[in-house]
Amino acid sequence: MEDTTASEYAIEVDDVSMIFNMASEQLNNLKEYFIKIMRHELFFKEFRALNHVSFKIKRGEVVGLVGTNGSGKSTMLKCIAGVLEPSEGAITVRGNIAPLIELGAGFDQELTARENIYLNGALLGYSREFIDDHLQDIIDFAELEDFMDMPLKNYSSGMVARIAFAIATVTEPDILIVDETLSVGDVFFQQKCEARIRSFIESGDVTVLFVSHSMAQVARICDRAIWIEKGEMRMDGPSKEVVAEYAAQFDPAPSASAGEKAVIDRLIANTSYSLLSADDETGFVPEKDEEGRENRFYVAYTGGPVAVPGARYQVQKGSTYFYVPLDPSMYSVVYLKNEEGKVVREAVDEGTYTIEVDLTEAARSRYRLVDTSYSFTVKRCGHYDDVASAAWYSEAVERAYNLYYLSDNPENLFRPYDPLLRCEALGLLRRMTAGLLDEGADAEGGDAAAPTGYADVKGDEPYFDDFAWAQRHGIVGPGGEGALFRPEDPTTREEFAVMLSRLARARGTYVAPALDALSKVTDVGTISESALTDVAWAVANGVMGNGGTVKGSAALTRAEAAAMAVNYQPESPDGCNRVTRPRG
Amino acid sequence: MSHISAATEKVSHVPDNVSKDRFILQQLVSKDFKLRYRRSVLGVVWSVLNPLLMMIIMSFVFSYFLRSASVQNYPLYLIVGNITFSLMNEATSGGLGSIIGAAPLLKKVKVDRWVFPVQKVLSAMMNFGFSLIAVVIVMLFFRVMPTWHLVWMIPALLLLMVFCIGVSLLIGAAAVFFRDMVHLWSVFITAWTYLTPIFWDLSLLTNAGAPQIVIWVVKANPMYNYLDMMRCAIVYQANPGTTVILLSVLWAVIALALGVWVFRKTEHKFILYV
Repeated sequence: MEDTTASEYAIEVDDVSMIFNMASEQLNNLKEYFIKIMRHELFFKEFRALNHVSFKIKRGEVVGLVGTNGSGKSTMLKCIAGVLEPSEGAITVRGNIAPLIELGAGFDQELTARENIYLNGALLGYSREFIDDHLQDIIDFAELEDFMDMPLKNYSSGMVARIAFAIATVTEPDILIVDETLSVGDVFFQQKCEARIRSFIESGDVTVLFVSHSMAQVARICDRAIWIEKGEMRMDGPSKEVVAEYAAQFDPAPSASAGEKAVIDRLIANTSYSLLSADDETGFVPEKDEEGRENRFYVAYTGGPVAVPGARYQVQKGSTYFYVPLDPSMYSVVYLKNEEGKVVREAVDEGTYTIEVDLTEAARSRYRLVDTSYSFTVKRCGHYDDVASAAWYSEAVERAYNLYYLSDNPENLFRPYDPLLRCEALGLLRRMTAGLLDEGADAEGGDAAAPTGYADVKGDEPYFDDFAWAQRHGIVGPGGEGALFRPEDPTTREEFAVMLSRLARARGTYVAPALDALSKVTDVGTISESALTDVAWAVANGVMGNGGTVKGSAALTRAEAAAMAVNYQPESPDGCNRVTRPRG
Repeated sequence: MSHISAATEKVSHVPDNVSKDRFILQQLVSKDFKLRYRRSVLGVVWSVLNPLLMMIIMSFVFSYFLRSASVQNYPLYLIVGNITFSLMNEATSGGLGSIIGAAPLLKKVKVDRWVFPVQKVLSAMMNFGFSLIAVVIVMLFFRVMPTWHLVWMIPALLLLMVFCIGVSLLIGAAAVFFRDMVHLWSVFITAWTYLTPIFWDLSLLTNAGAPQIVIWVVKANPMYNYLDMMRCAIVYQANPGTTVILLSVLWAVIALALGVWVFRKTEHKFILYV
C-alpha cells in the first residue's frame, strides 16, 4: 500500500535550538515584575538547553539516545513528542507517537479506571470507537478485570502503571519513544511489557527512539545511537562506536590515552628532574611557589617538551622537562613518593618513583579513579645534565666524554642540539689526537697581529692555538688575500667530513675510498663537488651515512659531531678512558 | 518552529486535530461533571437548589429589608440575573486556573492548550443548564407564562459564551505568569457584581438623578448587556434594545480577539512557567 506521506523519514530534527530564559530571580507576581521593570533590573539569562541539533531518523530505525543527566536529551524528547516547541528550527514528525516516557497523562484519581482509559486515550489521540473496540484488550493486558470501576485512587501505583502502559501500547504506534527506566509492575508484567516493546521493534515498521543510560542495552538493541551532550550533538553513528566513545568519557585516569601514557613511560625513565616545592608532610603541592610561578612538570622528549595531562610540578634543571598538567577541579593532592612510599621533594637519587594523585570531593561524585599513579625510574644519565640516556646520542656523547674528546665544561651542559661552530670543530679534532700531533713548538699565541692567513681569525682569539695547530697539519688551509675562515659559523656535515679526512691524512691513516663508496647514500645531491671525495671517505669509514643519508650541507649539531668523532675513532689514540684508564 | 504530524490512515487514531480536540473537550467536560457531584448526596439537584435558595434569600433581603423591590417580578428578575452572572463568574474563574491546573498534562502530552479554558466555560454552561430548572420552578410559582421571546436566550447565551471564552483565554494565560491574578480576579468579580444591576435595577440610578456618565458606564458594562438580553427573554418578555444587542456583540468580539491574541502569543511559554 502506497503511503501518502512520501518521505522515508519518520522524524526530522532540523537545526533545533531550545532557549530558556531564566530570570535571575523568581518573579512570581505582578508587584515584583513591575518593580523590576521600573528599576530596569529585569534581566534574563539565556540558557540553551539544545543548541543547533539536527538529525533524521528513518521509518523503522531503532535509534538510541544517550547523554548524561542534564545533557538536553529529555528536552529533545519533549520537543519530538510535541510537548515543547523549539525556540529555533523545526521538527517534523510523521506518524503517531507513543511516548512511553510519561505514562498516565491526565489520569484523575477520582475517576474510575474505565473513565480514565477514555480520558487518557483521548489525550493520546485515539478515537472513541477505537477505545470502545479495544477496551477489553486494554483491561486484559493490564490484568485488572475486577477493578475497572473503582476510582483510581484505590489502585496501587503498579496497577496504575499497568493500565497506563496498556493504553499506550494497545496498538502498534508509528513512533515509539521508550525510556529504559520504565519499570512497570512485577517481573511477569515486566516480561509482558518487554515482549510487547520487542514485538514493535522487530516488526520493522515502528520507528523506535530508545533512551537509556545503560550502554549495554543501547548497543544491543539499537543499530544507531545519537549522543547529545550539553545541548549539542556530540556524535551520531553506529551504536557500538557511540557507546564506546560515551563510556570513554568517564575514564578519569589523568586522561592520558594509552598512546600518550606509553610515551610518558618510555620518556620519563632515566630522566633527572626535581620538584621545586612540596609539602613533605602532606605531599600537597601548592599551585604556585613562593614567587608565584606555577608548578609544572614537563615530559622529556627528544623533539622538545610534550604536554601530557597529569600533575603540576616545576622543572628544575636543564632542558629536560616533565610536564603533567591536571584539571584543577578534579585533583587537589599530588604526592611524589619514592620506592619505600615516603613522600619526597626531589627524585634525584636513582630508584623508582611514583606520582600519585587523589580526587577532590567534588570530582569523586562523578568519577572513579582508575589509575592513580605514574611510576618511573631515575638513573643518572651520564655526565651531562641535558643528555637524557633515552636520547640516541647519549652513548656517543658519554663515550666521547670518557675518551677526553670533549672539552671540560664546568656547567655539565652539553647542548646537544646546538651547532658545532667551525672553531669548536678544530678543538674537537685536536683533542681527538690526544696530543700525538703536537710537536713541541706551538705558535706563540696572544698576538693579535700574528698572521693567520685569514681576515677573520685574530691571534688573540681563544681558539687560536687550535687554529694554528690545524693550519700546521693541513687541516686548515694557509688562507690568502681576503680569505675568510668563518670561525663562528656552524660547521656543515660535509665540512666536518673534510676536516676529519685531512686529520687522517695528517696522521697518515688516510686511505682513499672505493669508487662506489657513495652508492648506498641516497642524498648525494646534498654534497658539494669539492667535498665529494672526503664525504665518500667518511661514508666508507662508517663515520657518517650509516643510515643511508649524509645530509651533506646540513649544519652539524654537537651531538652529531660527538657521534661522528666516536664513529671515526672508537678508542683514544693514547688508550686512555676516563672510566677504565684515566689520564694521570 | 513547526511541528507537523501528518494525518494518519490508522484506524486507531482520530483523523485530525479538530476531532482530537473535540474528543478531549468532551472527556474533560464529562470528567468535571462527574467529579463535581460524584460524592455528594444531592448531586445534580444541587445545581438547581443553589440558585433557588440564593434567590429566596436575596428576594427576602432586598424586597423586605432594603425596599428596592420596585421591579416587577423581582424574584424572577433576581434569579435570572444571578444565574447569568454566576455563569460568567464560574466560567472565567474556572478558566483562570485551567492552565495551571492542567500543568501535569501539559508536561506530558502534546495537546492544544486552548481546550483547557474552553472546557471550563463549557462546564459552566452545562451547570447553567441545570439551574435553568430553578428558573422554571420560579416561573411556575409566580405564574409567569413564557413567550416566544424566550428565543432571545439563544443569542444571549451564545454571545456570553464567546465573551467568557475570550476572557478565560486572557486571564488563564495571565495567571500562568502572574499567580496573583487569581486573587485579583476574585476582587474584580466582587466589584463587578455590585457594578452590575443584578439585585438592583437601572431605575435606581435614573430615579436618583445620577449623572449621565455613571449611567453610561453601567450600560457599557458587558454583563449589563448580557443580563438585559436574558431578562428581556424571560422576565420582560420584550425584544432587547439595539444598543444592548450591539454592545453584546461588540464585547464578545473584543474579548475573543484579545483573548486569542494574548493566548497565542504566550502559549508556548506556559510549560516553562506552569
